[in-house]
This record gives sequence, structure tokens and C-alpha cells, in this order.
Amino acid sequence: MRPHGWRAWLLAGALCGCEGAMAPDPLRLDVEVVSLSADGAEATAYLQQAGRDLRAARASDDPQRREPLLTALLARPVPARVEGAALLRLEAAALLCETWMQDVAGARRAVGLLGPMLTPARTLPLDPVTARALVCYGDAARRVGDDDAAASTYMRAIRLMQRLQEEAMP
Amino acid sequence: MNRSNGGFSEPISKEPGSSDQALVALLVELSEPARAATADEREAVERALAVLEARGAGAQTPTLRAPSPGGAVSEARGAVARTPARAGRRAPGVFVGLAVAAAVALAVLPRHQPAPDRAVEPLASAAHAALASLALAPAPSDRVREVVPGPPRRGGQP
Repeated sequence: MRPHGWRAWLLAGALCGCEGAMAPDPLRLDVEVVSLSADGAEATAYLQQAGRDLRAARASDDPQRREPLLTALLARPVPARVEGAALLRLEAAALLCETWMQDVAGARRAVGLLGPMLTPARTLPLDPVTARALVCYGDAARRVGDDDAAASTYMRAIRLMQRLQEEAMP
Repeated sequence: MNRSNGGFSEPISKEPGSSDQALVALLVELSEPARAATADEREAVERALAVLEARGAGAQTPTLRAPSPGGAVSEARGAVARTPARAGRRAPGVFVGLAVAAAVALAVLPRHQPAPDRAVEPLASAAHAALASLALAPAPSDRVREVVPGPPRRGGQP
């Protein structure tokens, strides 16, 4: 075993290095401009259905009606040749987050939903709906006691809104 | 009882450590409600307790018992006098108990009185204020109506 000791150290060092490299900076904000477009009947139908569901959910004050509409939209697979589906999914997630924020259990569900969608490792759409989702995620994280996640998410939201302002008024 | 020597009917020993035993016995006796009725005696109890506290680990805590008729005092005094180490062993227990209670209080109190999250609060306010200024921006679901079927446009540029 002794001759292989250096290999074990090398492997451990590599693993430590990979772990450090894989852990994204919690304040990282990578954005891209995304627009909505569809090519083909299926893609167009997806966008139209998502738009209808979102508008219906937004118009309703009843959480019992909003939740199934939004969860169905998020569960629906995105067909090929759809551009900007992430915007609609983020809008649905933000609405769900705002619906669930009534109690701590709901906030925990919101963290579970929005966390992977807004992780710093992802490139996010440069859009007001992303800011809205980030702020709601920060609120949810704060509600469940994760102040570190809340603070970093609020900072990312503020930076994203600054970028939006710069885009609007160059 | 002979009150001139603190209620002891037997002479106080002058051997090392015997003063502690006498103090403990005095406390036992004075802690009886019938005996500690006067202000002077209560003051004596307080003074003796202060002395015991000042002695720290070497202090001997009195064995306080509920008043019982007929020789309860002498019984308590005898028990302490016969086994002085027994009372001495209890003193560290008291201190350990107090330390545990203090540790529990320190652990529990912050949960009941959560400290204000001063670092997050300003960020939350700033984020919400900035978001309010974007409230007039159309939601993606409203923009869907404007979508004209066609090939995807990379980067969102027309």
C-alpha cells in the first residue's frame, strides 16, 4: 500500500480541487437575453397553453385554483423548437412561490422548487420575471431561516435589476 | 437548647474542617422555620450561605429538610456531623447544576428571542423596492400573445 500513498494524496487533492471548482459562487449571476418564440404547431400550442394557464392563475385569488394550473404547467414537457420556455416556467414558479408563502411549510416547498431553477450555476433569463422569482426565493429562504441563501439571492436579484435598468437605459 | 453557641448542645470541635461542619449544622438548624423566624436568624443564615459560597468547592452545603416534629434538627445535625464528606460532595453538584441550567438558558433564550437579521433586512427591503419599480413590465404570459410562429431566434434578437 505504501507505494500507492502518493496516488491517494493526488486523488484526494484532485477531489478537493474538483469540489471547490464545482461549488458555484453563491453570488454568481450569469444572464442572457431570452425572447419567446415557437416554430411549429406543437411549440406554438405549448406557448399558447402556457400563456392561458398563467393568465388564469394570475387572475384567480383562490390558491386552490392557482396551484393546479401552475403545477401542471411546470410538469408539462417543453417541446422542441420553443424558445423562452424558461421565462414561462419562471413566471409559474414565482406565482407558486407567492401562493405558498402563507406558511413555513409552503416556504420550504418554494425553496425546493425555486432553488434548482435559480441556482448560481445556471444562466438565467434577463427578465423582470427572473427578478421576481429571485426575490420570492429570497423571501422563502428567509422564512425558513436560511439567511445566507436569502441574502445572496436578494443581492443577485438587485444585480439583475441593475442589469435590466442598464439594458433599458444604456 | 443552648442558644449561646448557636443552638448546639455539644461543644464545637476545633479540629480542621470542623468549623465547616459546625456551619453546616448551624444552617440546618436555622433553616427550620420555627428557629429561623426572627430577622437576626435569617440574616445569620444569609451570612453563612455567603461564607459557603465564598469557599467555593470546599464549601459544605447544609442538608435542608422539611420541618418535622420531634428531633428533626438533631437528626439532621447528626447525619451531617457523622458524614461531613457527604455534604461536601453535594456542593459541586449544585455548581454543576447551576452551570447546566445557565447553559440550557443560553441555548434556549435565543430561540425564544431571535436576534433581528440585520444583514438580510436591508437587502430584502432594497430588493422589494427595486422589484416594485418593475411592476409595470409585462409578464411573459402577456407577451405570449405577441408571439408569431416562426423559427427560434437565438439570443432574443429580432
